Amino acid sequence: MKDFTYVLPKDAAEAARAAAAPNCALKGAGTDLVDRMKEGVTRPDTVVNLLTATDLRSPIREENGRIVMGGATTLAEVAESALIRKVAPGFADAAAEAATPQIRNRGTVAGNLCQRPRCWYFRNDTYACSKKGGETCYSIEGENKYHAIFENVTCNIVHPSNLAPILQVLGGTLHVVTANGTDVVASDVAVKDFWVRPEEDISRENILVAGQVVREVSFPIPQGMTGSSYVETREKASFDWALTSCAAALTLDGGKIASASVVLSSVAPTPLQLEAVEKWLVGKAPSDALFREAGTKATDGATPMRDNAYKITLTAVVVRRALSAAAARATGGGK
Amino acid sequence: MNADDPVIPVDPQDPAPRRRRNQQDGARGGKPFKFGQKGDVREVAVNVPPDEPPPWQFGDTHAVVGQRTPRVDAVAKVTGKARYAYDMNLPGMVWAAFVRCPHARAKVTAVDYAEALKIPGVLVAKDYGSKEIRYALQHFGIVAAETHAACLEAVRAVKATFEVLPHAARMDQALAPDAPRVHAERPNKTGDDFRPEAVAAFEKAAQGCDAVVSGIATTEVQTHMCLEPHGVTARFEAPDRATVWASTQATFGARGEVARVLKVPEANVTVIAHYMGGGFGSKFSLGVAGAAACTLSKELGRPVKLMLERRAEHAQGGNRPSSVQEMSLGVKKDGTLAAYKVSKTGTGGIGGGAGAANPMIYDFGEVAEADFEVATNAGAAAAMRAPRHPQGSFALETIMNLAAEAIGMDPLELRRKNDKHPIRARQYVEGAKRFGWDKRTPSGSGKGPIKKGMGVASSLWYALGGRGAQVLCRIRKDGSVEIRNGAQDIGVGTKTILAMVAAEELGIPLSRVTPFLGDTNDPIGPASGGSTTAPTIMPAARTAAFMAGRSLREIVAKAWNCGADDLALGGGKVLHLKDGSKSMTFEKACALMPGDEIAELGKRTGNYAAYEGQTGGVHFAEVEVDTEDGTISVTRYLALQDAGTILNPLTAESQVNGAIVQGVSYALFEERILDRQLGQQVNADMEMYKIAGPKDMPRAEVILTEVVNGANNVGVAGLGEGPSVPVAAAIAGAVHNALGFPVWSLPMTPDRVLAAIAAKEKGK
Amino acid sequence: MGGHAEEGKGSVSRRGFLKSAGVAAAATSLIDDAKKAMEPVGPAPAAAVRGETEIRFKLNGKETVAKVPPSMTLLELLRERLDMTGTKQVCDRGACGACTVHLDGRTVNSCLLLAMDATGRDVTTVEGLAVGDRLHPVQQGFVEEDAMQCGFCTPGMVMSCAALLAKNPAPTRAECAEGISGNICRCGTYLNIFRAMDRASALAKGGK
Ligand SMILES: Cc1cc2nc3c(=O)[nH]c(=O)nc-3n(C[C@H](O)[C@H](O)[C@H](O)COP(=O)(O)OP(=O)(O)OC[C@H]3O[C@@H](n4cnc5c(N)ncnc54)[C@H](O)[C@@H]3O)c2cc1C
Ligand code: SF4
Ligand code: FES
Ligand code: FES
Repeated sequence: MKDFTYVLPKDAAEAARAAAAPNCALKGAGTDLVDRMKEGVTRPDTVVNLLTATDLRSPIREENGRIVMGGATTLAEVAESALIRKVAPGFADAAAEAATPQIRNRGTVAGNLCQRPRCWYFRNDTYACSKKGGETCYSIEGENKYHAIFENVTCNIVHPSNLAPILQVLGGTLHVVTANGTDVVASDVAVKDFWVRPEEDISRENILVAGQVVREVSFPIPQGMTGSSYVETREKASFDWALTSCAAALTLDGGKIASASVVLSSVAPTPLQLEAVEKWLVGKAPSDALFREAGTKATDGATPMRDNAYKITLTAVVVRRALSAAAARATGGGK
Repeated sequence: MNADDPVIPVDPQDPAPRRRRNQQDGARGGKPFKFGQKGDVREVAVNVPPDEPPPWQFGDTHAVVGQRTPRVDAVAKVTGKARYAYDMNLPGMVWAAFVRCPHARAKVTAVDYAEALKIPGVLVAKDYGSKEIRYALQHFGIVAAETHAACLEAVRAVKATFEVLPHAARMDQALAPDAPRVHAERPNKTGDDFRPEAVAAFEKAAQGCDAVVSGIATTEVQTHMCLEPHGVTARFEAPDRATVWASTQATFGARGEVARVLKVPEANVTVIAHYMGGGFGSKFSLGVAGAAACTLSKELGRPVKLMLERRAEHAQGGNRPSSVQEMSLGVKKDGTLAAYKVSKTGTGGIGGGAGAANPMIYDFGEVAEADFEVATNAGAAAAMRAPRHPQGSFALETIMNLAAEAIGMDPLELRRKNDKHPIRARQYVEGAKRFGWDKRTPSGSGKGPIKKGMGVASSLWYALGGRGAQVLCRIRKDGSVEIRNGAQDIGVGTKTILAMVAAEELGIPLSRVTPFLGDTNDPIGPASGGSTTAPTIMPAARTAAFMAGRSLREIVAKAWNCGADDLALGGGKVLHLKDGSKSMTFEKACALMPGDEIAELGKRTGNYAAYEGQTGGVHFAEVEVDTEDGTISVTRYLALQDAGTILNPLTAESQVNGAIVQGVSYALFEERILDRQLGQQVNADMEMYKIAGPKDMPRAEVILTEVVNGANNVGVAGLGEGPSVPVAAAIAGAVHNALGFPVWSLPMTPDRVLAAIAAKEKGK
Repeated sequence: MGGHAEEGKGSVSRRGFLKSAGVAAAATSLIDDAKKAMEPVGPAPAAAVRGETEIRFKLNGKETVAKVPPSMTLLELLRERLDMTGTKQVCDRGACGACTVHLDGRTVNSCLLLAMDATGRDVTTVEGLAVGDRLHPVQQGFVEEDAMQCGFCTPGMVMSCAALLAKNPAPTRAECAEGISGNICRCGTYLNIFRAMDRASALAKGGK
C-alpha cells in the first residue's frame, strides 16, 4: 500500500473540506477502501478518516417520524438495533446478511452504500477496464457469471450493497455535506436518486463528488400495515455475495395491496426500482400466485450474457420471496 | 542408514507400486499372528525382525493407544504460540517477493527496475527465472526489502514490457484446432487411447447386458488454498551452512533441495517445520519460493522470508486437475456389472498429472480405458488429497447409480453385490442401518420445491506405509523419555501418536514422553504423502521404544539377577513376570542407568503380509435440493472408515471430518475460473474462490471401523486420502436421488443445478 | 454476448434526470431546501499526520506505544513490528478471518484495520486470551475437542468463538456457525469447532 497523509477530522464539515484535496479518498472503516488500496486499484495521496468525525457517529434514533443514524453507524449496530428490527426488519436483515461478522462489526452504513463494485476485473489492477479509464469492459468477452443481466451496456457491474435496495424501498434519504471552498453546505438526496448508471458516468456509481460526505442516513418510519423485507440468493450459506437480491415493502389495506415498493439488486449496475411490477401489484390481494407472477414480470427485459442467464430464474425467485416475506410481515401486524 | 534399507521416495500420485516393493517376501517359518476385524480374524505368518516387538494382534488391549487424546501441541496452537515458517522474524531478516507476468503466454522483452530500487528499504530488484512465460502469474523477477510493505510496493514499481503471445489457458482453448502449443515438443493433447481389443471385449460383454447406461461427468480445477502459503524463511550461515524454516510436508526432501541450491552438503542443512499451515499434497518440494529465498539469503548474507502472496498461491501453489469422463457401464438384471468403458480427459496445466482414477472398487468385468492429458497455459497441478480419486469416484459412482436405476435395484445393493472387500462388506450393512437407508425414497419422488435425497459411495486406499523411517528413543536417567523423528506433522496429529506409541510400549503415561518432529537433525522420516506418514513412522517408533525398554529391562535384570525376558514394562513400572512381589517404578529403574541415557534407533522394516492390502470406507450423504434457487445443502453425513489400528480416535475422527468438509466444498463450490482472454484466474482470492464455511456443514458422524491390518507391528494405516475419495460422489448420489436425475458436473453450483433441471424439463 | 438493455424498455425504471459529472453540477443538484450553511468562514484545517506516527492503545491489557505509518495495518504492526505472530495473515483482504482480533471486545479483521485506527482502543489478540497458564474456556474446548488440524486458522477461530461466547453464553450450533462464518478453515475443523463451543459453553458456566 502506498503511504498517504491521514486526515483526522473532528466532524463532517472538516472532513468535507479536507476531502476536496486532490487524489483524496474518504474512509469509513476502510473494509472496502483498504482492500482496494492493497490491490493497488485505488492509490490516494490523502485519506480522510471519517471515524473521527463525531457527527457521523450519531446514534440510531427516532426523530420526527424518521429513523436517523450517523453515516458511520456499523452494519452490526443496524443488525442488532431493536428499534430498526421493530420498524423495518428488512433493513436489519439486509445488514445481518451482509459480509461476515468481522466486517459487520466495522463496516459502516455510508461505506456500504458507497462501496465500489466487486467486478473481478475492476478489483484486479492488471485490467485497465473501462471503469478505470481503459477502453474495454473485460466482462463482455470474459467471465461474466456474476455480472449484470439488466442495463448491461457499457459496464456490467452489479451493485454490491445489501443496504442499497432496502434503504431505497424504505424511501431513505442521505444527508450529505458539501465543501465549497471553506463553506460547507448540507443537502439531502433521496436514495433512489443517489445512483449513477455507467452510461451517465462510467467512473463512479453514485453522485458524490470530491468534497462531499454522507453525514447521516434516514428513512421514514413505515406507517399502517406495512411490511418490509430483504431476501437474497447466493451460492454458499456461509458469507457470500448475493447472486440476486430484492427488497420489498408492501402496505396492505382491507386485504389488498395499497402500495408497493420493490427494488431488485445484484443484477444491474444500480439498484432497480421495479415500477411496472409495483403498479401491477397495487389493488390486488396478496397471494403466492400473485407474487410468483410478479417474480416473472420482474425478469422482463433481462439481457443475460453468456454465463449468467441463470440469474433470470434467481431474479424471479428472489422477487417472489421478498414479496411473500413483506406481505407476511404486513399481515402479521406490520413492518 | 544402511544401503540395503533405502528410503523409497514417496510418489504421492501413485503409492501402489511402492506397497508391493515393501512387502515382506513371504513369511516362511514365520510365527502366526491374528489379524483382521470382528467376525473375520485370520492367522497370518510373520517373520518378526530381530529388534522388533511382535505385532499387535486382534484382541490386544492397550493403555494409551486407542484413548481419545488431545494433541500434544494443542495448547501451542490455541494460544498463538505455535510458530510457522510464515511467523519467523529473525534478526536482520529481509522480505522478498516475486515480480510476475499477468499474461498466460508471453515473452518478457524489457524490465526496468529503477523505480523499484528507489523505494526506501529496497535492497534487490532484478531478474529471476525464465523470461518465457507459460502461465499467468509466472514470475520473472524478484525484489527484496527491509519490510513487507516496501517489498510489495517495489513489485508494483517494476516496469516490464511483454510480447504477448496467443495462449491456451483453458482446456477448451487448448483443444481448439488452431490452438497454440503449450509445450513446443508435443501436441496439447497426449495420452493413451482405447486398446481396440479392450473395446471389442467391452462391446461383446455389453451385448450380454440388460442395460447399458452412459454419461459424461465433468469436474473443475480445485486449488489447494492452504492457509499458510508456500514459502520459507531461509538463513544462510556463512560459509557453508543453512537453516530453513519451511512450510513443507517433506522436510528431508526440502533439505536435499536446499543443499543443491546452495551447493553445500546436506549434512550442513537443517530444515525446520515444527508447524505448517496446510499442504494437502502441494508442499512436497522446496518450491520456487524456497529456492529463491535460499539463494537470496546467500547473496545478501541475511535471512530472507519469501511466502507466496494469495493470488500467486492459486497460480503456483498447485491444484487438483479437472476432468471430463465419458462412461458406459453395462449391467445385468441381477446386478452383475459386465462391461465398463471410460475415456478420461483432464488438464493439470503446464505441469501435467491430470487424469481421473476411477477407484477400482467394484468388479466391472470387461474394462476399456482411455486416458488423456491436455496441457494448458495454467499453473501446474500438484498432488491433492487422494490425487485423481475424488473426480474419478464422482464419475464412477454416478454411473453406478444410473445403472442401479436402470435395473430397478437399490444402489447400495448394487454396490454390495459387486464389492468383495471384507471391510466394506461390513460397512455397507452397518452404515445402512445407522444412516436409516431404508427411509430413502425412490429417486425424484419428492413433492414440493425442496427435495430430499440420500446417496452412498465407497472408498479405498492403497498405502500401508513402508521402509523409510528411523526413530530415536531416548530414556533419560530422570525417567523422562524423548521420541524423535525428523519428518513433519502437517496437522494430522502425528506428533501426538508418536508419543502415544512410545508411552504404550514403555508402559508409562503419555505425559512422560516428549515427542519431536519437524527438524531434519533428527532421524530420517517420510514425506507426508499417500497417507504413509503414520504407517511409516509409527512402527519404527514402536521398535525404538521397544529397544530402549529392552535396554532398561536389561539394567534392571542385572540388579535383580534375572533375565531381561522375565521382565515387562507396564503401569509405570518394571514388573517381574514370574515373581509378583518384585516391581520397581520406571523412574527408579531409570536411576539405575550406568550412563545418562539409553538411546536406541528403531528402523521401519518391510511390510508384513497384511489382512487386507487396501483400506476401505463407505460414506452416506443426505441432501436437500432447493429446486427453485438451485442450492444444495448437505444435511447429514455418515462416514465409516477403516485405518487399521486407531491410535488416537480423537485426531483420527478429525481427519475424516476434514475430508467431509473439503469434500462438501469440492462438490458444491470450488472452481478455478480462468479468464479466457488474459488467461489469468479471475477468482484468485478467498472470496470469489468459494470455500465451504461453517454454515454449509452437515451434521456428520464418523465411525472408525476397527481393523488390525497387521501390515506392520502397529497395524496402523493412513487416513489422509481414503476418506477424501468418496465425499463428492456420495453427495452427488444424494442429489441424484432427490432430483431423479444426476447433475453431471462439479461443483454443483446453482447455475449448474438449475441448468440440469431445465434440461430435464425440456427433455420431458 | 451480452445483450443491451434499451432505454425505457421492459419493467425496469429509469430515473428521470441524468446526472452529470463534476463538482459544481453535482453539488448544485444536491443543494435543495434543506440547504444551510454549517460553519462560519475560515475554520482551521483538520488534524493530519504523515509518516511514522506514535500511537497508543491497549494491547492485551497493556498500554502500548508504537510508531506506525498511516498505511500500516494493525496486522502488520502485530506481526512485523511487535513480533506477535499468533494472529495470522492469510487472504489479507477480509475474507478468511485468520487475522481476527478483538477491538473493544468485538471481532475485526486486523488486515483491513489501519493500525492508527486502534488509537485509544482496546485490542485483544489470541496471545492475550489465556490468563497465565489458565486457558480461556474456548481454548480449552478447542483442545479437548481437537478443533484444529494444521492450526493456521485456529487463532482467528478462537477469537471469533470467544467473542461469540461473551455475547451468547450458550450458542446453538446455528448461532455458532453464524459466529464463525467470517472464518475459513481449509483443513475442515468446523465440525470439531461446534463441539468445542459446546464444551466451552459448559466450562464457562462453571463446569470443569
Ligand atoms: C469479504 C467481504 C465480504 C463482503 N460481503 C458483503 C455483502 O455480502 N454485502 C454487502 O453489502 N457488502 C459486503 N461487503 C462490503 C462491506 O459491507 C463494505 O466494505 C462495508 O460496508 C464498507 O464500509 P466501510 O466503512 O468499511 O467503507 P470504506 O471502505 O471506508 O469506504 C467504502 C467507500 O465508501 C466511501 N465512503 C465511506 N463512508 C463515506 C461517507 N460517510 N460519505 C461518503 N463516502 C463514504 C469511501 O470513500 C469508499 O469509497 C463485504 C466486504 C468484504 C471484505
Ligand atoms: S464490468 Fe465494469 S468494472 Fe467490470 S470490467 Fe467491465 S467496465 Fe470494468
Ligand atoms: S487475513 Fe484478514 S481476513 Fe484473511
Ligand atoms: S486447521 Fe488448518 S486451516 Fe483450519
